[in-house]
Amino acid sequence: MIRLKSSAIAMAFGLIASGSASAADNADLAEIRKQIESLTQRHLEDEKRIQELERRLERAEAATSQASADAKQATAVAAAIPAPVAAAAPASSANSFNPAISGVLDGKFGVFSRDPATYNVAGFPLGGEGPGQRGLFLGEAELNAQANVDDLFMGSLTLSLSDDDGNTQANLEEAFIQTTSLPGGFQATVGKFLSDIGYLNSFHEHADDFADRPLAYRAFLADGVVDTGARLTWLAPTDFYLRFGAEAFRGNSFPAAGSADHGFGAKSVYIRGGDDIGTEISYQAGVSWLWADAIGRATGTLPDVFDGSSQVGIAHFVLKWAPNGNPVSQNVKFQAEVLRNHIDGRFKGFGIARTDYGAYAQLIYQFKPQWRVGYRFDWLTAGDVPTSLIGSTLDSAGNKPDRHSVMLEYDHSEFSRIRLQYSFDQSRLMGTDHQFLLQYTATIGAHPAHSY
Amino acid sequence: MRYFLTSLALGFSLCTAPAFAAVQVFACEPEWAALSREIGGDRVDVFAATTGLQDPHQIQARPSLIAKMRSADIVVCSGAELEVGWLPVLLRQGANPKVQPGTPGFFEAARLVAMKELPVALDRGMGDVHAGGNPHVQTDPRNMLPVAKALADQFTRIDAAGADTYKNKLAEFTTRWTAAIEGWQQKAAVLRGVPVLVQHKSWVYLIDWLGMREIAPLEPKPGIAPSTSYLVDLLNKVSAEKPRMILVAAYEDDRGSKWMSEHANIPAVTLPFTVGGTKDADTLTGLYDATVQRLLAALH
Repeated sequence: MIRLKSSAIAMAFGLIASGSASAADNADLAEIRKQIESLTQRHLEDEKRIQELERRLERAEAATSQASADAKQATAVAAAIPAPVAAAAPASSANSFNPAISGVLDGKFGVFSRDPATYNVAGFPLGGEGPGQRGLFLGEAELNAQANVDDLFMGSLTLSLSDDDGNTQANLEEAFIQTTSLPGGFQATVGKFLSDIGYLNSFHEHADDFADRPLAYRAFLADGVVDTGARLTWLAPTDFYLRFGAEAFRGNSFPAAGSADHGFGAKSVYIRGGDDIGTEISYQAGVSWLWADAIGRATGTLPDVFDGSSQVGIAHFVLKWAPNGNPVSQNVKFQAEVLRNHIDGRFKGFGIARTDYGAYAQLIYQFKPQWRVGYRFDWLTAGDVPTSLIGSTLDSAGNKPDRHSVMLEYDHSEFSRIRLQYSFDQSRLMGTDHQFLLQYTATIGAHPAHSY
Repeated sequence: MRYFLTSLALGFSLCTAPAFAAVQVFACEPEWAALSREIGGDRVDVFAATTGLQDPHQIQARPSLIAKMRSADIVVCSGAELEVGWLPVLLRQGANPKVQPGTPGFFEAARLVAMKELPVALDRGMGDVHAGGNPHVQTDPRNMLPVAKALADQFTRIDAAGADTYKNKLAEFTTRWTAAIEGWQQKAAVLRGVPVLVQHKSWVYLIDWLGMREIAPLEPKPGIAPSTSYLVDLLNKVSAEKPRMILVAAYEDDRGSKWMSEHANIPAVTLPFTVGGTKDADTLTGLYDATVQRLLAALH
């Protein structure tokens, strides 16, 4: 049976290979013929156009009464002539194989009623950064280059540069290759990349609808898992969107740490499904599970050291609505995720095994072109600590961190955005923090393509 | 688990087996869906990714579209960067080697047409310009002829058994279409030289075809909505040229054109822009029937 299957597969591959080879030759010939045809046609059309414009110009010159209209047409003639030259140029230019390069510039102005340097989330060690800084500060400046490597792979490289009070820090955010032409709906990715778990995790933060990540992401995933590893996904051949994925990582990204020596320190599996309901509503839902090992994971200034494992389960749901399915003028986006985090190991040398929960729900409404408003509620609840860890970072002392955020956004074009966000933040051990963030985000270079 | 997946995959492939008889067409816009049906007849199974009421520049890469992309044999799009904001995501996430750029399963209409408004310089300061030229080639029915011919070739390459069907359908379409163009041109002869305003620069091919004269777009830059103060300025500038109407695509926000229509006292004429944009444009022929009719109605 196995031999039969493999020979059938080999035959299938052979067929595909031979079929595509001869098709490619024919395709090339036909492509060249087509190009010659279209160039000839273009040339003829251009000649015709110029003749017609010349005729129009003569007529226009004769008729002095319509002076202003004439001037317009004369410029039209001038503009029409160089166009074909521009059309012919790209084929021979030496840099036409350059990848699509884009940059993202991001900056914020922060006003906080409590000092952000002392930021904490009651009951949770934080692996990432806090809510920002007071005054004007730069977010990450991101540089992305991507292109097809050949007919089998595409490659993507993302560098992020951040300014830490005069010291520039370069960070390799993503560097991966991904297959583009595996048969059967399979796709493999290798390198350093954002994990596909949950919903928000696979997005770069500048694509988010709020200036910061939800508390559950901050506490359980240090804003997002990005690590070196490999991923295999399979897309079902059904009209209903259904994708299965499995990932294995070195184990360098929070909640994992330093576990690469054990092979793959972090693993995940996920399922995503989605569809349209009529023409106006679409949705996506999914569940993911992440196993992450940590060896000597240090957080905080003390620091707190954790050895053990984390298991993060995420369920997400996203629903979008637009009149006639045309989101340009108006649209609504609802998004929610529920996270469960189970840790088992030793924190500061003391044994701990507990389960935490977190969630957020947000609603974004674009009420007219270029303008969007949004509201988000997010909360966390920490499990109990043993007496040996009372007073430690893991001890929430009965606090349940939560936060209400509202935002108003102006998108001048697809490439620039200004956002004002206010958060009523009760995630600290004590007291309320009023957080105002004014943020700009600009994209330069290649036109971005957005995931759902 | 592996056994489960294998049997699942086997089950799916059995389910989809009969579909191999036809060519699965993923058309980015309704006009290419309609043209694919004209040329492919019963041999093609066509899915239109967008409707006539959706702005083809800004479509979300929805899960349903990714799923459709997965099973497509050919993707038929306008090209010239019209779909740059969403098609690359679908192509990437659709995990379908048959329809990647450079394969016979990837078809862009803009490659077969003499493109207009090719930018001399590229700068986003000029708005959302397309490096490949103005992508709205379907507004001139003459462009359908070279596209139809190439599409028949492409279908034949993918489905050699249907070669005769595609050849006959193409011949029939070409004859019918050439006559139809003649008819529209005769009807629309009075539109020659008529000065018009446009909401977005969507109509350069239509305007060229019917010999109308575009005075200005209402958008200050392509893709950027006009403010009222901009419209006031524009009205002052263009009133001397006496525009007769404002051309608006059915999917566009009509606030700007409504304002201009009231203040310049000229009709804003909603054109279907593509198949299904308006009720009277439910077929490829209907698209141009409706377009010409609506323009004539606005003139009188």
